[in-house]
Amino acid sequence: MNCQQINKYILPYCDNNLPPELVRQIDEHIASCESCANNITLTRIENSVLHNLPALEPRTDFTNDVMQKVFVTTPKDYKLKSLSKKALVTLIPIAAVLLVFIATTMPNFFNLSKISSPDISQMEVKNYAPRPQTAKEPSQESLRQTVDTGQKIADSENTAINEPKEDSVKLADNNNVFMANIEANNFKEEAEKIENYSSRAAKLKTLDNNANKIEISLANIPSDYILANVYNVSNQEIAYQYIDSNNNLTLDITLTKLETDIVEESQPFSISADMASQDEITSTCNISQVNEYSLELVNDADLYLVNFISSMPLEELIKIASSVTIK
Amino acid sequence: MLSDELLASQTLDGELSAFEELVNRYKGSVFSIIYRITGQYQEAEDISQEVFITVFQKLYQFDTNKKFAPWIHKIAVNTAISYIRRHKKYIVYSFDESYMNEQNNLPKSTIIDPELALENKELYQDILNAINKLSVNYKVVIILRYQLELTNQEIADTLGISKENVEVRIHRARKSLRKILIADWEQRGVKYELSTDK
Repeated sequence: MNCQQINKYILPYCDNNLPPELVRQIDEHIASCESCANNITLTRIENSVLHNLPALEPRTDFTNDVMQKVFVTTPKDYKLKSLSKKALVTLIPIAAVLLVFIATTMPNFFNLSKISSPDISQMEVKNYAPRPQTAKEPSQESLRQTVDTGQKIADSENTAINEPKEDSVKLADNNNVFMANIEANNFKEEAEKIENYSSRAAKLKTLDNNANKIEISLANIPSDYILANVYNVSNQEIAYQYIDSNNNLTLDITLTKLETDIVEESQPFSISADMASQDEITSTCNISQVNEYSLELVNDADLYLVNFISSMPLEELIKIASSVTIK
Repeated sequence: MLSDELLASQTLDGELSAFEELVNRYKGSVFSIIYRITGQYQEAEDISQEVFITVFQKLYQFDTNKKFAPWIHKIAVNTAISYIRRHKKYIVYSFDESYMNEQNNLPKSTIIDPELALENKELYQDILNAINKLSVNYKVVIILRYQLELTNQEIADTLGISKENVEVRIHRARKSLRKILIADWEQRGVKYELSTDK
């Protein structure tokens, strides 16, 4: 047996875990090899140190400290968790049966629970009547003013944000809605559902021949609002729903493509906060503590009506709406 | 004496005295693991308390059909390693107190060459320092094997590795220990005359 082989067996040799024959061979070797003998001696010393590492104990009042913390911090929570382990197996099936029973016998129960996350399409039908054809004209006129010169925007500087124009007042009086019923050519089929709900930007992919990609972004939206749903209301309408779960608020945005033949120039356009506050307000109203705000945007010769509905204060709603851009 | 697993069950039933008994049984081993890994007495005590709080809060996850010791030691090892990673520091060891204890408690009968060992306290200190310089993975396996005297199966259960892997890791840890020791001696120009008498 050479030194390399001995090296392989040193640990079990020192722990007396080798068969007698191997032990005899190693003994013969180390009798004539000082290096291996030293190696074994040092291994034994290491063993004695390792096996006799001093027992360590924390302070004597350690247990009391732990028990105090256990008692103070978690008794209720602990009871619940300990209950859950044993009782969940029983409780979950019972809860499931109850849910099924409620769902089958009281279908309205679940409808009532939708208050916190209303369906935008239902809201429109319920709260607002269809917009008459005449209501479209002021919006188009407003758009022309914005796109063509921008000068007329300045002319209307004195218009207060929350003072609706005459047209708007008429619209509100007549219980009219602002969603225009306009047919578009470029929207096809339905948009793909947005995958990343945490993103602030809602990306809408259309399936038209040109594979256009429309993106809405809201620069001023508070961080608490998370994009929760994207609806495809129709071929021309996409609705986005943001939810602020902390304050139980919702923000519903509808993007509707309008007729484009009124727009002559094809240039990217985004509306600034100032512009929105002065001229782009097509209408505002407050029905049952729900504020609504609409504006029109142009993107690549396409005209879009963007409608905001939320229970948040109107001023805050306008601030968010004014930061919307379409790419 | 009630088993650890039964005490765990009684704790789950709301008997805090059962948990107190578990704390008394395991405070030494938990503290040893954490102190050897972190090297700081006060921090080791705080982390040990944290471990027992965690154990109490997660006790409902413990499978009482399995052994309690590997479960709590695993939590202790992971908590200590997490502490080191969080603080990104490798510890200035202060083994004075443990070294002094060791000198007082040396069991002479188990030392292969008692004369050599007792005359060379410096040699013992060198070995302790080499243990402290081991990488965390090696240090953990050394503590579990030699200080807590766990079996290979218990170490495997604690670290979540195979039994065979435990033996390999111990062997590598010992080789690493020797390497550190020799390198330290070479650096300091120290040479020991080792007795080869069996």
